[in-house]
Amino acid sequence: MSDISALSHEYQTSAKIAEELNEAILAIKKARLHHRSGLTSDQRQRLVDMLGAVRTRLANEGKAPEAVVPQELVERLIGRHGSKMAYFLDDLSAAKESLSASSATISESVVSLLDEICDVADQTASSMFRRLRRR
Amino acid sequence: MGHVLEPLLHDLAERFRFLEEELGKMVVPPEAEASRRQIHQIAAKAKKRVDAVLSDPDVSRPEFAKNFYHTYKRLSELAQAIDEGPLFALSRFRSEDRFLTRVVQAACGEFRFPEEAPICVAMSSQYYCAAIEMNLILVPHGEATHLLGWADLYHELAHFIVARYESTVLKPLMDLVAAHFRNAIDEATRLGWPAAAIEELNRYRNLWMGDWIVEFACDLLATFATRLSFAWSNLRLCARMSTDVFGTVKSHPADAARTEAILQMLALVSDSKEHQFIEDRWAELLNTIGAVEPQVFRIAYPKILLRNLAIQAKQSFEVLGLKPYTSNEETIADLLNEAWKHFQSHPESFASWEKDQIEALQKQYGLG
Repeated sequence: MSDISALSHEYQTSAKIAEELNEAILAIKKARLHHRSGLTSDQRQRLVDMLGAVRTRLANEGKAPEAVVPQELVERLIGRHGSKMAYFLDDLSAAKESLSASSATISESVVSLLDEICDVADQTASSMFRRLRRR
Repeated sequence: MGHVLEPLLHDLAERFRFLEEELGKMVVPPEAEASRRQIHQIAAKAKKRVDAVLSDPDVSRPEFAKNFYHTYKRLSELAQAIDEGPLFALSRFRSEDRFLTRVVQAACGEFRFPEEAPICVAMSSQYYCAAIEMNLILVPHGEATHLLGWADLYHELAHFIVARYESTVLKPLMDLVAAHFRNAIDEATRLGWPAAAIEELNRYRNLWMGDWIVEFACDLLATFATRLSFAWSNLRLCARMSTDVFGTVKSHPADAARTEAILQMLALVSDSKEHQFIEDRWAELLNTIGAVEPQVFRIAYPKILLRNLAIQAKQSFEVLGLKPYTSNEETIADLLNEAWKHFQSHPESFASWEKDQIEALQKQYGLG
């Protein structure tokens, strides 16, 4: 009934997105450094789903995405991309396509995009964690 | 390693070692044992994760620094959440908490809550609230001996369901909201509404897609599981705490809109007499406080959307196997409905009736 429960829910969702993206980026970087295989097909699919969910929310389509994306995360991305949103939506589509092709090497532009969303999810989670403690 | 993260990670490892040890040696009443075990496992797993980062050969590489920092932050938040939430609650778990946890467990069994019931402790300074990742409900100190607010426990339980079954519960509701506002914005654009009015529609859509839809879903579930007692509890809360029943804040929709959603669910699960009774009392409250519905209210909270949300929510709850309230089964929900009836008909003798009911329940749980 207080704001705490809804914040707790949103914190959990944001933290999960941040963690999942961070683990994926670590796996990609380690694979490049040590010349070994990177993401599993499951990991790739989860990233495709996540990018799709973020894209659906940003594009304001008349349906909700499969995975819930916290509103604050969406607003932070809108704040970053504002009037150039169409380009960002194109980048999201391209990254989704690249990750969907399981054999394709993951390009630097895809890693940068994942990194940016990871940063925003991290900021969202941190901000909610602090608000839960009224700091 | 020689990086700023190294001492921080050692500090975090020490904190998890402490949490693991404290939770490992703690002896709690049987009602809280499953929770203690679960949180102990979470702390142990997190400690292993910190150790793994500390021994990772790439941890000192600059290109990995930010990622390991993110890992550190999430684990650090987890350590703090365990310390301030379940560890604090379990280390002070008193008879009131045992009783409330038994009440929550009984309520969960009755409406077929699909998970392990959370523990419930009477040490909140924020009315009723839930720490979802810690499987913990907090209520104010006095609630262990007062029945009328207990229907709000179902709202808190709903937060766990909404968070853990997003695709079954939240997604279909969000689809309805997204489609409604997409159509409304398209129509407004076609009709040449001013840009500011269209922006207002966008703002409402964003608020709905944020915290509002979660609060509506939880209210709808609480009404589905308890029927009248949650509707009463909501009315009492509005009377006690509302500054403007039609006003909206980012984290919560307007009280009037929530009441209307509750009435929509009541219309689906109860008889028309019950529904009308609550509707009349709500109208009385609005008259008493002199609240007048502003024009914009129906743009933010269209009746048709609220109705469709109630219909969809009921379907989703049924898909999850949740059981709607049915009377005369001697359940917690029954007790709450009886309490509200008694409170309405005999307010002067309610306190003594309530005391007897709580003592009988404590005795039933072997806690008297």
